[in-house]
Amino acid sequence: MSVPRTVARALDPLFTSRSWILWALAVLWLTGAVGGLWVVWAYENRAGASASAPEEWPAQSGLTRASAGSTLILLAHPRCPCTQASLGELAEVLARTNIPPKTYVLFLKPDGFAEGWEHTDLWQLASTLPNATLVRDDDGIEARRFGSVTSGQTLGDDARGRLAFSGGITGSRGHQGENAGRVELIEVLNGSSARSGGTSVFGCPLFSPGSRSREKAE
Amino acid sequence: MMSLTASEPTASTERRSQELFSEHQNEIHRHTDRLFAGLMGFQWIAGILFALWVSPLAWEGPVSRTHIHVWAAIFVGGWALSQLWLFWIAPLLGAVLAGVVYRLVSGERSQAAGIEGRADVGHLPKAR
Repeated sequence: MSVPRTVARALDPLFTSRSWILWALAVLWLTGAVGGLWVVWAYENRAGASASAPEEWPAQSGLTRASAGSTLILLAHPRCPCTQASLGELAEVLARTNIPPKTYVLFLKPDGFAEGWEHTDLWQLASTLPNATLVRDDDGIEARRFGSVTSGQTLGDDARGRLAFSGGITGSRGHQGENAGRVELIEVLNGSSARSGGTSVFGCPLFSPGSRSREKAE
Repeated sequence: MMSLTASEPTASTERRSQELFSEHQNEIHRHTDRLFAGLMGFQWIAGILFALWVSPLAWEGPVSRTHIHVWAAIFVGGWALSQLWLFWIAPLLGAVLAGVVYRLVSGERSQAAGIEGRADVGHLPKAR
């Protein structure tokens, strides 16, 4: 008996009229599962808009940079689920620096929300960071001064107030673990690297598309 | 003095024992299938609740919308659990492949009637 005929005969029971329905259902299920996973995977790996942060510390900022040493700013949306990972990574960074930088965590509070809207679990988490100052950023005024538009955006300024790091410190949305942003920021803060090339930021947008387009028009 | 001697099982005894064994095996399979069907339903509901608890909303400044994790939990079947699809598909494909290879190696011809007949295991008429 020829091999193709043997194979065809062996496969016969797999393709009876009744089994076709099962095969169709299986293909439908597999397509749905793979397609759904692809959508989730694409979402988790889609970086937000990077900051166009000023090279020098903005003079109009209400924040004061460290008189000696580095200053670190993390901009956060208080209700962004992905930002928990950024705060976790920030804790990791602070634990690995030789000289702790002056650290600010800015929490956005858009206009029109009740007092205390920004006091979420993320605020509580950030309050456990060593030497970190939590600041409510009303309507993202400070975020705009620092050219930042995505939650999780981290800016590191050197002792002279020059921008040395601008980027995200997670590898993807809401995922903690070793990543380029964390490594580069630690190198910058520990002085083993003068400046980082910048990394992708993964988090919720700080501003709605409508408000961004209005700003551009202005 | 009486002595017990081992006798060969009769054909009817052997058939009956096969029936009892098949019925019991079938009962175990049904029980296991029901248990896992229930577990999968429970995992699905738990996945949705977990997504609603961990990441209910995605935000863009002041604007919120239902987070993609919630949709994925509902339609894909659980964000974390959905990673397990490979563990379901691989054994199924392996089983199909094993069946095909077995037929090729053993030279056994396809016996649709025999396969159909298996579905009736457990519903065999009781031996009289």
